[in-house]
Amino acid sequence: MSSPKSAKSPKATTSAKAGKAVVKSAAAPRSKAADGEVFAGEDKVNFVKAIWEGVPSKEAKTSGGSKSRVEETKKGKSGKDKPKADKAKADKAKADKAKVGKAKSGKSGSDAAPKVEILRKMSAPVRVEARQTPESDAALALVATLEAKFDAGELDVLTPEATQALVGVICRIYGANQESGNKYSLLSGRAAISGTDAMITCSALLKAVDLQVFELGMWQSWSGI
Amino acid sequence: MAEQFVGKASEFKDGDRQIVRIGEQEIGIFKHEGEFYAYSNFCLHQGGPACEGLTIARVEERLRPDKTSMGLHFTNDMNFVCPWHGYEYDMKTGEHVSNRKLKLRKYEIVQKGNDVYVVA
Repeated sequence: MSSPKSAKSPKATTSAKAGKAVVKSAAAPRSKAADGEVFAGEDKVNFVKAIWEGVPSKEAKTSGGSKSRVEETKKGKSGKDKPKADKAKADKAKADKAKVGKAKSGKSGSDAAPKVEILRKMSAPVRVEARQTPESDAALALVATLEAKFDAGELDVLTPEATQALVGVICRIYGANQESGNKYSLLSGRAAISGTDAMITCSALLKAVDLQVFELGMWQSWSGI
Repeated sequence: MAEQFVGKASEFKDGDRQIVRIGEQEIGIFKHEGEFYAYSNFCLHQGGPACEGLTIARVEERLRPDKTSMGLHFTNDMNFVCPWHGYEYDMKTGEHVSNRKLKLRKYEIVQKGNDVYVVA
């Protein structure tokens, strides 16, 4: 039995206890059967798992049940104990999947039954092969030259007139392609610009065509772009 | 530690990923530039799905000799980013890019012919 004083003053606990309290409070929404004994002296991996999966109840520990992120997400955030029938059904499904895994593994060479469960497959982003034109090649060569000179500190590598002409034609080409359904990102992954560069350029573009930011916002909400 | 079959090499295109559960471990398997890499799917920050976020080239700020900036540039090294809070890890080592002491658990990948196994 703890004294009433210690029970009423959580600030008086040691740092280790404070850490444990944090774990319990973070895990509480996922598992209401949290017990205070689980985290004493455990490593970071278990800490992270506990944050994520919730502290397992004693019942779950004995049955070896461990819920995944995906399963929890699919089942919603009810957090209530499942009926035994559901649990049995889940165990059966798990066993079936294990069988499939075993059949797939074939010549793995391992005596233990495979326990691999594929959760998600994520494909690489599809890259559309665009038609190469001589103008594109020339533009890329020009960009390489400009970047090299700019990186060397030559800020006036382009005259204002040349910059205006380039930005103007790029705006027209990009806008026309977007409107005709040929949608692509304005900047590729390799052409890194800072947020400040983007904001300066966007502000200058809006100013050049006498548009206010609220008009851009209205147009975006109407057009859905 | 046993070799666990996770798929056929021919089913992985460059840039593809697969998340598998082996026992209590969740593992992200990447195919990047023809090589396979496998890491724990629990982010070191708060346990988020570290291997399921964006893959993006590493950003570097290049400096002139006088330490003024030449701007931000993407390098050829690829990173993956935890979708929860943006912890960014090196694709080839699993190290956190700004603190190399933090490292995702790396699993060995064994390729036998067309079969890919994770040692877990």
